[in-house]
Amino acid sequence: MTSVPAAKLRGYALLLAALVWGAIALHRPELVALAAPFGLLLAVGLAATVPPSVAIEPGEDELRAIEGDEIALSATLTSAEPLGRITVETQAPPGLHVPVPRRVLRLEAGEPAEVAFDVECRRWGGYLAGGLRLRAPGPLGLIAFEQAVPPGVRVRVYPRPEEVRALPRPAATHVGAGNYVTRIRGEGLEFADLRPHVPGDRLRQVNWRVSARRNRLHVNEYHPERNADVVLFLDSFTDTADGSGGTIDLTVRAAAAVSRAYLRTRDRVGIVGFGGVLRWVLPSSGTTQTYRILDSLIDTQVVASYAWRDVAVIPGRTLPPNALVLALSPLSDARMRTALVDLRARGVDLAVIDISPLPFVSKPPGDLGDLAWRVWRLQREQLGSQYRAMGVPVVEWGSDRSVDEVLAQIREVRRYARTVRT
Amino acid sequence: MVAAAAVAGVALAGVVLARWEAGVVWSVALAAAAYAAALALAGGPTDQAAPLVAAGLVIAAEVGQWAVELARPAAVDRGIVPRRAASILLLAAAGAAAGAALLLVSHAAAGGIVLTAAGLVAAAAAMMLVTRLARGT
Repeated sequence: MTSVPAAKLRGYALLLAALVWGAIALHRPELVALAAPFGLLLAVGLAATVPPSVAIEPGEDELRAIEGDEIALSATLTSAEPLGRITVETQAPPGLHVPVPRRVLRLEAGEPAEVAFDVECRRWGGYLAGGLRLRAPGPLGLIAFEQAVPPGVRVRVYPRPEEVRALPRPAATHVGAGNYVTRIRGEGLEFADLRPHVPGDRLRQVNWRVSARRNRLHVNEYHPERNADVVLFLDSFTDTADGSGGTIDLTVRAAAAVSRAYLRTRDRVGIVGFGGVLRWVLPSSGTTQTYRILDSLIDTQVVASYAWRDVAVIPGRTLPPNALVLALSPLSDARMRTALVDLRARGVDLAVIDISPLPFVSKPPGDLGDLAWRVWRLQREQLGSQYRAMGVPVVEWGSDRSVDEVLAQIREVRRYARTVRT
Repeated sequence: MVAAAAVAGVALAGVVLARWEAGVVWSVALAAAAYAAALALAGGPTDQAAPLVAAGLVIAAEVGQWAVELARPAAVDRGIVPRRAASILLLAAAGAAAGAALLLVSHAAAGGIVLTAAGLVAAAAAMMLVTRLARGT
């Protein structure tokens, strides 16, 4: 621990000197009596000060939480000699909040003492927390001994789960069992048709009522329930943000809610983060995939890049054939807009959630600003129309609606689009 | 003197509210200066209450520092507050006793150039000792 003189050490020494010299100059012994407690304090305080040696053992090295949760960061302190007072202080990175960041405690010699700080997880993200600053004042607080412990606890805060009821249904299904009733016929629960019995049909498939009426064995056919592949295509080229949030924030929240909901219905879900840095999680299903995706999402950030990117850089396995690609983008970057057009041109089943940057941008002042604002809005509307003309449903999402409402709207648009095609 | 003490009190309250730790000693120094000025102006016999004034000053200084520390939110373990309060009171009492002893010695000793010179040397030695101790830690 490094020693740091307290502010009062210098002050008391100067006061002592001034009083003693004043007593001599003014021939007033009362001033010496006035200086006596300060002299005593300095003499005893400095003579009794011994540098302490405190061992710090950090608690957990990794913590996971959900936005709004409260976690505890702890450490165990052990001192070789008794310490009447030691102040332990922690600092939280932005996104985490420690209501009481200081703790003052006593340490007995050789007895470990646990120090825990309650931490409120206010925003999703990956954080390095648990940095400590120890300050142990000497017996009368003239010299303080300080020690800093760098942050070493990885805290992963996942976005708060949002309830999603109406998920857009993928146009094509996969071979695994799932929740979507397919158009093909096979084993399932949903009745499809009747057909005459052929050798090999199981007895329990026989529809006895129809067989009796037609005087020939008939069997029921069913639509099997299958799962599907869903890929979330996230735009991390730009982030339009103010103090209350931003487009990346909304993108991550929406992606977390959607991926959780699809994984709950046994679909295979993958992620492609398309931006300055290309990131992906291959489609898979199950609880492990949920955490894999959430871990990937909370690391999402904008990495500035002017390099041109198109869909050719995306590994083929991340976009399986027949997968529903759900793009989340503010449609601000030309590279993302072109990539969406390319995907559609390749026949990908695509839907776009347009994360509106409008709530995070203030309207410029003046007539020119008003004009620019209206032109920008018109351009955005025109962009949406262009995608819709290509058969890509685009639904704008500001922060005023829930993800569920947006997904329900996409689901409706896709349902009508299918009706028109047939 | 009362006005000066009131000014020093207000200054102490101000530095505590402003969380200015170094300012606590300066406001106590202001009070000590006011007391010294009052003694010099009044003249007359030795003020027997000086050890009590000294105890009051050291309590004001230590409690002021403590208040500055408490201005920041902290969870303080049980037992620390009474121990610290007791140590401040003990320090003040010991300081007052030392001051009273010094006053008794000053009454017993006859004044003169030799004693003044001895006082100067003692003051210088005390400051050197404090400096040496501070460096040693």
